[in-house]
Amino acid sequence: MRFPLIFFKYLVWHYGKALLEFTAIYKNLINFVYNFFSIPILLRSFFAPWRRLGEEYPKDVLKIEEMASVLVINFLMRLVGIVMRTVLIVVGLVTLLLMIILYPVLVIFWLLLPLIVVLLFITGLIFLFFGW
Amino acid sequence: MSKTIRTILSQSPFYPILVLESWVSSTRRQAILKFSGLIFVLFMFFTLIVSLSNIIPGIDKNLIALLAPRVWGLLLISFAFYAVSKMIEAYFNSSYYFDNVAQNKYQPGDLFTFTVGRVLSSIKGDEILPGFLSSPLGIEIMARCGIPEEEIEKFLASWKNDQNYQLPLANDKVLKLRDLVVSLYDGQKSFKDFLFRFDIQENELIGATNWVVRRIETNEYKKRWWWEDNLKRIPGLAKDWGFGNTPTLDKYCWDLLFGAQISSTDHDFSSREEELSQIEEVLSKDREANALIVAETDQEAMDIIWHLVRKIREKTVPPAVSFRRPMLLNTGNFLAQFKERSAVEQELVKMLDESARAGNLLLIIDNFSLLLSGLENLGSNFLSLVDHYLTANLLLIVGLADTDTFHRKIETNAGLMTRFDRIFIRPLPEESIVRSLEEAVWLSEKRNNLFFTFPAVMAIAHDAEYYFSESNTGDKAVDLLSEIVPWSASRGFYLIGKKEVEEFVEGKTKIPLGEINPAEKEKLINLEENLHKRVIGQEEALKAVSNAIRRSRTGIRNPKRPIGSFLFLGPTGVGKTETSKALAEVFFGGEKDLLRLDMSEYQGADALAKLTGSFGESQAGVLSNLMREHPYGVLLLDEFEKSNKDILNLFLQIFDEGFFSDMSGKKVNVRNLIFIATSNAGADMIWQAVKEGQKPEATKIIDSLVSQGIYKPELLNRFDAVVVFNPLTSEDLLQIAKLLLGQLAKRLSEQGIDLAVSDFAVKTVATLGANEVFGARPMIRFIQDNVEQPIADKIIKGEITHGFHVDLLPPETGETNLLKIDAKIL
Repeated sequence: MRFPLIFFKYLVWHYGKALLEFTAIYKNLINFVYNFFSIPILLRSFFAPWRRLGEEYPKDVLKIEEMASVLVINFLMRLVGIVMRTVLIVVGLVTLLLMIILYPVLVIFWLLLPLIVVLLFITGLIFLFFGW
Repeated sequence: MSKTIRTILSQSPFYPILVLESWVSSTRRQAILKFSGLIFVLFMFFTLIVSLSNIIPGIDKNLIALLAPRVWGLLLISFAFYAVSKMIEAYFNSSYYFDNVAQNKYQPGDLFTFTVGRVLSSIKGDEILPGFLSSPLGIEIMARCGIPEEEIEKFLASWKNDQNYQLPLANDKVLKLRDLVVSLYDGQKSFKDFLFRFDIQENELIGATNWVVRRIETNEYKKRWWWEDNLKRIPGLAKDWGFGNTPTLDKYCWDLLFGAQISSTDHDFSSREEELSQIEEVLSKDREANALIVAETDQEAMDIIWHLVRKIREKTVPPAVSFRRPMLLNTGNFLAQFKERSAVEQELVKMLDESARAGNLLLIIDNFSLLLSGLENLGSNFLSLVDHYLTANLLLIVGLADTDTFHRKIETNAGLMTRFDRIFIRPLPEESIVRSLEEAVWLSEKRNNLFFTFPAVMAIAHDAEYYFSESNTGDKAVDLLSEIVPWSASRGFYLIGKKEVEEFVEGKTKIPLGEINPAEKEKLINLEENLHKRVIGQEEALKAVSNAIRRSRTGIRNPKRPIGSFLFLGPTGVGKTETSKALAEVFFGGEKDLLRLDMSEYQGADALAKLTGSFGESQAGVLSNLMREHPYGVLLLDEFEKSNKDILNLFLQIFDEGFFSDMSGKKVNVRNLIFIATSNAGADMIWQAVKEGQKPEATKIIDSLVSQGIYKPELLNRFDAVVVFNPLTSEDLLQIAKLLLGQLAKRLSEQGIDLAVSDFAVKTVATLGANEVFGARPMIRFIQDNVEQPIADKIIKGEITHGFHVDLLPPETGETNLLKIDAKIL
């Protein structure tokens, strides 16, 4: 008596609460990837110099040569920062995109899983005893 | 009844998983999951081989055609099997189970917790108590109480239900395992008696139950890596890209986020919630966000920092702190690099500039006062160097200091005090210590293959507070635990109970603890006799002292006061000091544990400063040092009445509370000492009474001392006993003379010389050696002059040597010595 009841309760969970939980966990993982690639920080500091490296401008604005050299160094530092950040942002966004695409696939897989299990089991038995 | 339990179970939302659990236990499920996964991988490998064989020439195609569908079939079946195992496991791990079990988020409709459900579903018979005690959880709780499984079996074999027990279920309350255990304790007398046999009381049973439940909750929580809190702990790839590098700072500092301590299981911040929120508040300020953490010891201040670092890692701190990199400056190491003012200033400013530019630092300065004084010694000033960073909020600084150095060196610097907010760390209550110990014990058990009972954990927390006065208790308890682990391993103990902890503490402190063993029982019963081996006469005095010691040893004494405090009144030379020595020997096992202070040296106005230390002169006190170096033993306060009034008031507090505060406000624990104050005050009255043929009455003498203003009544009341020592009778003197000569004979026999202690010699020493004013004390001098010295002279001259027999005879006419030394070869 207990087995059918538990089986029924399981199915109710599988097609109800489990889907919600799966979505919640998936959301956690997407959030994690988003934060792991530090996308919000990278976007906020997109134009900032690489690791805050740079030089201070001379107080005397008339020292043109010195000003120009500092300007170039600081520009290069910012450029390095922009390139590094762009690479990481792109990798992060691609990963996120893949995860988003994967979500409906996984949901469909989950929905079909009980059926897939039964089918695989039966097919496996047929293959085992009767060949192709 | 069993039907009722089943009905109750079926009403619970846990019913399906409880049934599944009863079919396949959690451990078995894990094993099945691993096994099915392995089989699946194995068949994948076979399938691959078979598929590849098809294209390799020379292999029989018919054989491959025969094998291929079979291997594929097995692969599909093994996958189906693995998928089902995974689905069942996912069902178990589903969120309502997670929320309830791992986060303790039950709702009234749940009726009972999952752990109670596990106990109920494992019940096979009709009764709850046997069901509970036979369930894996019940067995685990009993093991934590120190009760082995065989004892449970024995108890259950003879158990008969003579009481009508009802499961305490209510519609509006969730029954927790703790409630179930308490209801069994209250409702089943036989269970209570059974626990009593193992010295387990209700609080220990509840503590053990909570500990077991907490272990389950912690493990479940940690397993769920996908949960937001756990994922948050993984640091981002580019979290530091926006901040600057700090090469100079990195040379002297240590990034605490990579410290080993934060990977421990200790996530319980509840005991330090108040202090942590204070620190977070200060560090979130718009300006002057600098904190100074003041604790009894440096370690305690560091302990709070570890909590803060864990919170930073878990991102449960306010936004102003969450992105910070906590860097600990090793002050000693930093200062050791420099000999000149300019060099240290240059490096410090460079370091602070870097930190300010980096923008994400939280600079923690260990031993803050050392940095201040170190810079001062080099002619520099910390405040003038860092003031700019502190006021402009370019940097967050947290300084760590202990109470002592804070009061002496930091608090006096008014400028610094305006820049830093002070946070005082309060000592942890015993429950919090037990809680943090529980987690430390899990780690120790895992690493060292040991098993601690809950009473052992309680004993460690308790003993750390009472017997180890130095450093803070929370830290000391964990230290004590880490000392017990190798000690137990060296003795081959696997199970550590209260007894083992007490044995360890007893060995370390020499204070007898735990259950009284037969030898000690004998010693305690015959305490007066044992003391009498050294002290002659003074029956009442020895009885009073012995009774106090017995009270202390049986645990009846107030643990917040010293072990004992006695005032010995009486003339000189009647055995007051000797009793103290005898007590040190009997109670602590040796005279070396007798500490002595001559109170006549503490009469002046500076007496208190001499004893407890002087703040102005930064000088530690004699008593503070003595107590820190020897926290256990007998402290003899000679000529107590001569001490200054302030000193008497100090002892009023010591006898009452068991501690005093030294010059810097640090508490000094004296609860593990026996205080004996000796005093000649009242000696005249005692003599007078004896001369009149009366027995000296303690109450009369005390009244007289109070009326003369020598002692205040409140001080006398603080003593466990005020003991009057009577002048020695001639019979007592004879016995003392015999004892002293006996001691000399023993010393000589070690050199192979046999000294005969004749009645004549005893009588001579007692009559000519003792005197009315100084009691028995001059007898020692008499023996030295008339026996020891002549024998020593003869040994030097070669007239007495190894194998000689010495008699003490009456002196011959004309001889100056009062005893004739007659030596013969044996």
